[in-house]
Amino acid sequence: MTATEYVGEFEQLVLLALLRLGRDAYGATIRTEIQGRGSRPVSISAVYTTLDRLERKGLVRSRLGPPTPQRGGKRKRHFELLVPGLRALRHSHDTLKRMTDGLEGRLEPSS
Amino acid sequence: MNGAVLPTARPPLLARSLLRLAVPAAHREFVTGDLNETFNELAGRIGARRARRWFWREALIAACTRWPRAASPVQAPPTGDSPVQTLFQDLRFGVRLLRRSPGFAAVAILMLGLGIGANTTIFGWVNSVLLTPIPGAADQGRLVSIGQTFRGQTITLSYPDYVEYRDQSRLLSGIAGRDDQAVHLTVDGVPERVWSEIVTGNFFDVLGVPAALGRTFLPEEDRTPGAAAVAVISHGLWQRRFGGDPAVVNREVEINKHPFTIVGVAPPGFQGSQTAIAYDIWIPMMMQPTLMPGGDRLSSRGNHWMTVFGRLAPGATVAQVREELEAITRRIAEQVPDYKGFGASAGYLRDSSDGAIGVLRPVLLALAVVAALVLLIACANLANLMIVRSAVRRREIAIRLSIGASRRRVVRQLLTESLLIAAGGAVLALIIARLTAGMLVLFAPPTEFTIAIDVPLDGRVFAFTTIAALVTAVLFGLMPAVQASSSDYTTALKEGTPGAGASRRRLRDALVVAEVSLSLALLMSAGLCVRSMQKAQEFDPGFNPSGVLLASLDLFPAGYTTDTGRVFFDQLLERLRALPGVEAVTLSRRVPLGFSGSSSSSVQVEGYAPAQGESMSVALNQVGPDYLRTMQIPLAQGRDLAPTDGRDAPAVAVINETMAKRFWTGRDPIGGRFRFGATGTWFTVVGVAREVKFNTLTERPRPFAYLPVLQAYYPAVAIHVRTTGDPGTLAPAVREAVRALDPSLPVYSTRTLAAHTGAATFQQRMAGSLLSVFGGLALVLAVVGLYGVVAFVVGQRTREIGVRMALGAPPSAVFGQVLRYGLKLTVIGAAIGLGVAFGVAQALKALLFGVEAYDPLTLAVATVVLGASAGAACLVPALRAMRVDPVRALRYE
Repeated sequence: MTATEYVGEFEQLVLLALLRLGRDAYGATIRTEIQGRGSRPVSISAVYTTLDRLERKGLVRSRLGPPTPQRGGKRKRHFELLVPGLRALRHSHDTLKRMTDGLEGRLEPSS
Repeated sequence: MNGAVLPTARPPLLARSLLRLAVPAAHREFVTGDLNETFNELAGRIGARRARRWFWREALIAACTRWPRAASPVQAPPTGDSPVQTLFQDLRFGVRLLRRSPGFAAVAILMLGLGIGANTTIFGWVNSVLLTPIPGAADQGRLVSIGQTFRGQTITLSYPDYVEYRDQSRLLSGIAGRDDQAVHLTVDGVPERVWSEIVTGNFFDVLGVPAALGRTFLPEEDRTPGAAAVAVISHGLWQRRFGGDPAVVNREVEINKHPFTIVGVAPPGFQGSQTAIAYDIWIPMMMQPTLMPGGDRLSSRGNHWMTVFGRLAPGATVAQVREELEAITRRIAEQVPDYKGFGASAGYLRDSSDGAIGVLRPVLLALAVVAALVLLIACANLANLMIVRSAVRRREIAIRLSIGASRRRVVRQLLTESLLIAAGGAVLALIIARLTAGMLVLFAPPTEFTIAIDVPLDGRVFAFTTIAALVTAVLFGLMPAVQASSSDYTTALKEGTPGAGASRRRLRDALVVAEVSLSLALLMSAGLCVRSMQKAQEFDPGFNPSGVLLASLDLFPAGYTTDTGRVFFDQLLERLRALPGVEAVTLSRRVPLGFSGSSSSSVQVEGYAPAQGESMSVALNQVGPDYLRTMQIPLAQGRDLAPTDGRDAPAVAVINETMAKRFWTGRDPIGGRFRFGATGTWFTVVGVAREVKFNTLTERPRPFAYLPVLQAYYPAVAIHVRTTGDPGTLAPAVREAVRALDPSLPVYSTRTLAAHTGAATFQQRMAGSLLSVFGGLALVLAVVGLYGVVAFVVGQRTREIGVRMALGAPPSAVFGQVLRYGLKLTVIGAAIGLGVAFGVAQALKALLFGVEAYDPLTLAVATVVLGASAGAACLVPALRAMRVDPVRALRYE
């Protein structure tokens, strides 16, 4: 993949959660991560549809983990950030940084 | 019996079901797993209530989410097998598994074979009697039986009426008429009595039956009375009497001593137009005056004697045909004043309430219901077996699921196994049906006719069996398969953990309850039918059927005149009275309680003025001297008919009490006179007899007259001989007595009166016998099911029982607990069964005789039998539980 994929806002949040969680990234932890830091309610359905989209774009990949009793015997689907994913994340982060350059005073909360 | 379960919070069941429905299989596992995990975490942090609310919200969002349809990369099927390949894999695997547990396979196939076999047998009978009432005829669904109605009764047609219907109807593509008549067929000088159908020329065309050899009748053979001495013979007669010789066409034979030419042979399988009766010869209607006693009926408008049926024209309905025939009847009534108040009737032949169809339909329909219930019980039993089996196979299923098999795949595998068992059951069912197909005819009582019901295992029976097998496979296989594949299989991998038991046991318990309830319903039905059978057999018909031998003869085809016939009867009675061991002898045109029907006619009674529109119809029978004495019908007044009431003596009659009370109210009937029609001979009443059941056991008393056969002559009679010993042993002597008078006169239908009257209890006997078999089968299946479940539960709980006993529980407490568990299921099942039983009893109402559908005694007996059997079934596992050795049970761990 030569061209960098453009990623939307929620996609960025999901990718950032993956980056943060590393090997422990799967549906429940990703949801908790976004909800905890983003302080907004996130549904598991939204997380999964986004992850599926990212996987189709080749930004992340998934594998099956073992089932656990806490999950009622259901297996986990672990997600991993791929190089193009990281690149896309960097790209949007750079763009945001360049766009916000010099505006920190107005964007930071006043108090 | 319930083990202690930790009260942990679980996500709401409905929301979980919603998730299962809404989230595609490709995503379901991970999503549900994540939600479960978060739910557990939330429940511990913010409380179960709020966690549940959260779960609901997630489930609702998931339900509204547009999930990507394609399976995600990790969900690709493990191999690239095509559906057919997977099917073969499943089949191979299933066969291997079944071969590994032959005991299970045998029991399962046997149970299903019996269940499906019962249904296949009954369906085969329904197929033969109700769906194919006239074997060999084309498109039988469009055949319509036609009659006339008068004062609410359906009556047969006269020939002139038939001609008007035939010529004027546009909605029937053809109308044919027929009646039957026993004739003497003489081939190469050897006479034989055979049953013929006297038929209109278009008979074979309307039925759509072509000749197998030669031809059927020509239009010109349907025009001139006496000018069509031709006959079509049955395939059976062709084989039997002519050795299948093709040169039989155009051969001359004698029928009732008249020369006839055989013009054709009917196809094999075709036996005539009356269900279950096999005829040997068909003769054109124009020959009626030659072949039937009573002279020419073809020109008589008032003589209603023909059975008529037609074929619906394309697009016509039965209701339209009825209207058309009504209109034709009204036109007849405009010219014939006697026809005022006449109507017409038309109905599908298969819905007929006459003949074999009418007699068998209620029995067959009741049996069909009962057989279906037996199959349901077998299914419930099998489902239980499958659950037990899948519990044993939990590890295997768990491994398959964990190495990537989808749940659908596992369910399909398990269903394939069910299908294999069902296929085995279907094969066994067909074998059973093959063996039992002919049993239907065995129930038939002896009649003058040849009763023949061919029960072929044709395409329809095969299709029925296949569908039954498929449906049962799903019925008994699906629920256990879904359950087995949904259990939390991780726990299953840890051998020995008693997990996921609750819902499975609930299902098992429910199945046993269903079995018990259905079997109580069947037991009760069987009980009702058996009681009906007993009541019918004990019922006093007003005469004594035991100790009487019957033998029939017909003087008409043998060429006797009225005068020579009377002399013959006189001499025959003389000879028979002289036989050793004979108590009384008589003759009678009709024998009560057979399938032969009765005659009736309108009378005029001296000194009785009928009310406007009052029916003066009186049933009658021509009988010989000593009739009441021979039949042991009690005399209320006057005397029996005597040998002196001969041709030259004054005309006399014996009447029944109903007739005496009706027409001689307040007068002495003895010496009273009545006559048939307005011009007949006056008969003087010499005796009054007690009531007799003549047609059915349930009929209401009606006016009845016994006329001396020597005065009101009739050529075809049954000899009645009462003896002190076994009536059957008299048969050769009776035959010899006839032969001594006329060596060429055939004696036929030799049977005892008791066997003959079996016709009246035919329905009850058939229902009683078959329902007993089905009821027994149901009881055995239910008891096996109950035993299996209780024993299995005891086996599973051995450790728990061991712990309890180690802690000091007395064996009697353990025993009582197991027994209580089994009996609890029984009591619940029985309570539901009472409701089902009342429903089934409604279906049986038409067959019950002398017993109410809600007979408390039958109900009590059925319940006790079921309760006792259930108790016995629980006893063995309860005893085993009591003997559990705590030390050994615990060491197993």
